[in-house]
Parts: sequence; structure tokens; C-alpha cells
Amino acid sequence: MIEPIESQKNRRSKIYFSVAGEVGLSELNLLAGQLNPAEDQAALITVAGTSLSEAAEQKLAALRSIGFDIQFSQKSRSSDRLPKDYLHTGRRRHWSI
Amino acid sequence: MIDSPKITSIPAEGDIGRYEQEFLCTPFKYSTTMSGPSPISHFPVSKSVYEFVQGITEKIAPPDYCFFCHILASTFIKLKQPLKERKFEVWVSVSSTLFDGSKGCQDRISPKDLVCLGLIGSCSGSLEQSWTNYKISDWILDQVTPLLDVDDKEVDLFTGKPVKRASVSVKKNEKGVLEPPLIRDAIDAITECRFNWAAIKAVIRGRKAEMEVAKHTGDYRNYQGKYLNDYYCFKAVRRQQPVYLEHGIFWYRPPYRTQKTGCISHLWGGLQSCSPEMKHAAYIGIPNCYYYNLRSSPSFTLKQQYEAVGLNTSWLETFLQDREVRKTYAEALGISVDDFQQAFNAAMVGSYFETEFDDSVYRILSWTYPERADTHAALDQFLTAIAPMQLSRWHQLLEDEYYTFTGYKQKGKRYLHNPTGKTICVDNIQQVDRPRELAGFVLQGQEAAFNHWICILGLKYGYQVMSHQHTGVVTLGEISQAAIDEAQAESGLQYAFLEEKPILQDLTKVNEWLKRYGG
Repeated sequence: MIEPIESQKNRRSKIYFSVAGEVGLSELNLLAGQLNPAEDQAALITVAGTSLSEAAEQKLAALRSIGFDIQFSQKSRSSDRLPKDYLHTGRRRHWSI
Repeated sequence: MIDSPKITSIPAEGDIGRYEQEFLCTPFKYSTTMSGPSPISHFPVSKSVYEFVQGITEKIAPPDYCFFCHILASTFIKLKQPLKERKFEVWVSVSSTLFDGSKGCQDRISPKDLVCLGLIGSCSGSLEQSWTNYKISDWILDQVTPLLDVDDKEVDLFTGKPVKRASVSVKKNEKGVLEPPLIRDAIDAITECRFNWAAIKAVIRGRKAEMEVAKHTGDYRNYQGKYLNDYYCFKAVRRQQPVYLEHGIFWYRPPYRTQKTGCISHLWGGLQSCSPEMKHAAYIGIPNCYYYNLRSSPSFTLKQQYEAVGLNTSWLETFLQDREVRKTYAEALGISVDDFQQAFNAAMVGSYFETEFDDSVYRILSWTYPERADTHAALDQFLTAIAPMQLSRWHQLLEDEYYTFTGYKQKGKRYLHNPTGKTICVDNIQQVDRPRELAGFVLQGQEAAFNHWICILGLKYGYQVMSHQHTGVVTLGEISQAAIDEAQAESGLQYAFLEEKPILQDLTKVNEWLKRYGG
């Protein structure tokens, strides 16, 4: 008989919500609108952005108070780039909006 | 002796024609996909299926045999599409010119002979009679499907020759031009997919048993489709000549081809298009295996696109931020919240009416409102509800203005790029198909670019993508936050909502199959 291994059975779900730029209240509201209280309260949620606004900080606390395990992770500005031309393995791709 | 009951399920003459006429009277035009640009000439089946088909077609001429095989193969392809409901008949549309001059079918084809023999059913398709709908007789379909066995030798339905060769990824488009570097690099990054052979076989055996139990119920076609899908997905993996690793785990190199949108699809489905039960089983016993899924990606990408072109996002934001809004709309329409969300997703990519494989808004609403008049009324109500989103305005912008900032104009034709590096010519798409094709190109292309970057960055961040899953990936090793940030920045995805979770939530059915058939 084939049994799932324990580490896979009992692993905790993780959610990453990464925003290009500052995480404001509207971004956190977007996240909150997608979270399913029944399923996602058991997950470890990470919100990433270049910074966190004051209003967003309060919203984060509010989400924690209703049972979500949520944290903010600051990312470096160098990785916060919007679409551009880029060089990859010596070949050039074009994309701009 | 094969029993061949009379076909009783052919729609009344002209029924499909009237169906189309009704659609043509609505604000959105109905478009249908024919059974491909050329006839199917190769299709793998179990040897026992081939022998069965030979037995029932021994009296028919070779061109008619080709035609019959084309209809049977197309039926299998249609049946295995993962649609929610499959109580309807599977009809294959064949253009009157489809078999003109095709190899092996130069002689005149006489579908009428096949109809007289009770092998297929037919009815006229369009108002102009330029194409006709055919279906494989139910008794054939019912006898052929159980003959497909995972351990049986595979042969070509058309020639009877063994199918052995492993496939390689297709890195050129239909014109022979190399696909964009990002796509090729992503395909090259997926070198090894591990899977649990015995667990997959247990699921397929379970699927077959489930189908046989449902034989005399209205859901039979549904279960038949699920079995066919998992069967062909596993056969696609086996054809790659997997190599044994350890503890019942094998590995193979997944072959991919690129879609018009820049997404990559596993040839014949493999571990990308199989059922969640089979996916779950495939990765049992593989340590350090993770499944990542991009959640609500089309909605977030649409918001990003609206912001980029200056459209008002307030309605869309309210819709995304407040779960109650969805509930209110769904209740007003009398459908479930899940169905409303699905209909909303279909509307985003301009899929209002039935297409061959996709769930359209019309079809989703018809699950609750099977009567045609009721479905149309629900559709009108749905379109009124989402009207403030200005979706048609965005679809119009895609066609008229997008090329000015994400593409170019050459020799009077407009071309669009997406972040995967793919290009599409707006003017080469039929007017009626433009909203669907262009919206899909922009939204799915953005999502695909992020996934491609996740594949490529594995080497840098110490994980390995084993399988590309359209809306996510399966990896060996955890994807770090830094990798997600970099993939997001490189692909230009404004909001990346990635979740790492089990492939399947409800394990009851799959655990029972593993217990019963897992050896």
C-alpha cells in the first residue's frame, strides 16, 4: 500500500503576496478580498513590497486579529523593477508598457 | 459478434443550424472551432482498441477508414477535455474541404456509408452547409474506452504500427521560427520530472473502476472523459521512457510545445493536464516536493492592464476587495459563487459563447439554467452586472491601441507583444475571435512569463522545477521569497499571489484507490 510521507501530509500551506512597489491599504484590501477565512487561516502569509504604509500596517494588525498569520517582508528596491527590456543569456527581448 | 444498436441520439435535422442562428442574433457572435486545420493522421491507442476498430470497419474502404479514425480520435480529444459537465453528445465538426487532397484520403470519402453501417451519426452543421457534424455511435464509444489499458501495447490507430518514440520539446513555431528565448530557456530548465509510477497506475485503475460503475448512469460520459484524460496523460509520460531512480520513483524529461499566448503545454498532457488526483499520486513519496499555484492571477493582471491603459479600476477593485460583492451578484443571478467567479474569468478573456474546449459564460450559466431562454436571460443579467467594469472598452483597446505601446505596426498590420516575447498579429485574427484571443494573449502571457522566470531562476536560488502547471509549478526544493521577487520584477507582474499548498485537499477518493489498487 502506498502512503503519503508525513512531511507532505502535515506541511503548513504558505502564501506569498508580492507587490511591485509600496504595499498600501488598497493592496492589502486586494489580498484580504482573495483570502478564504476557512482555508487560509491555517496558512503562513507573507506580504512583500518595498515598504509598508501606515494605513497598511493597521490593516495588517487587523488581519492578524481575525486569525491570519501574516507578516510583512521588505524587498530591495533593485528587485522592484517594472517591465523593461532585459538581457538574458546574451539575447535581447523587447517588452514595454 | 458486435452488437450495433440503431443510433437514436442524432439531433433533429437543422437543430445545430438553428442554435447557431440564435447566437448570431445576439450582440456577440458565436464562433466555432473546427476539428483542426488538417485531418488527424496519427493517434495512439491500445492494441486491443485497434483490433476492435479493425473488426468493425473491415467492410469499409481505406479513405472511409481514415475518416472514421479522424472522428474517433477527435472524439477522444474532445472527451478528455476537463469540462465540468459532460452530459451532452460529443460532435465533431468537419469542414467539407478538410479531407480534400489529404494524404491517404485522396479518394472520395462516403460518410453516408459509415452512417448506414451504424458507425457514425451525422447532422448538417452551418447555415451554408459548408461543414457537417459527426459523432461516433455510442455503442462503439462504450466498448472502445474500457479496452484502453495502461499496460497494453500502444499502436497507431491509423496504421497499426507500434508507437514507441519519445517526444522532444518543440521550440519552433509552425513557421519554423525559434520561439522567444524566455520560453526556450524555461523549457530547457525543466530537465527532470520525478513521479511515483505505482501510485499513478493505482489512480488510473481507480478511474476505470469508477467509469465502469457509472456505466448506466447519466454521468457516464463525464467519468469516461476523466478516465481518457488520465489514461492519455500517463501514456504521454510512459512514452518518454522514464528511468528508475529509487523507492518506486522514476524520472523523465517532460516535452513541451508553446501556445500562441506563450504558455507551454506538455505534449499529450502528461503531469500537467492530468486530474488533481493523478497529480497528487504522481508526487507521493518524493521528498522536498512543493506545489505552487498563482491565485486569482487573471483578475490581478486585468487590474494591472487597466491601470496601464488608464481605465477606471474602481469597480474591479471593489469586486476584488470584497468577497461579499461576488456573493451578492451570484445570489442575484441564482448561481453559486464559484460559478460566478468562473463566469467572470471567462468574460475577462472574452469567452461569452461556446468554444470547442473552453468553458464560456454561456455554458457556465447553462449548468444552472439548462433551458436556452433562461440561459440567455441569465447572460443578459450577468452582462448588465459587470457592465461598469467596461470590459468591452478594454477589449476594444486591445484591438485598436495596444499595438502603440506593446507592439508595432508594419505594412498596415498591427502586432502585439506579451512579456513571454511572443507576438500576435491583430489583423490576422477574425474579428469575432479578437476579444478572446487578444485578452488571452495579454493575460495568460503575463502569467506565463512569471512562471517561465520561476523555472529559469531555479538554478540561481537552489530549487528545480519538475513540472510546469499553467498556473503554477511543481518543484524540488522551496522557492525563496527572493526568487519570487526577481521573477516578478523580470516578468513585470504587478501583483504576484503565489500559494504553496497540497495539490489535492480532499484525499478520500485517492487514498481509497491507493489502498485498493496500490499493490
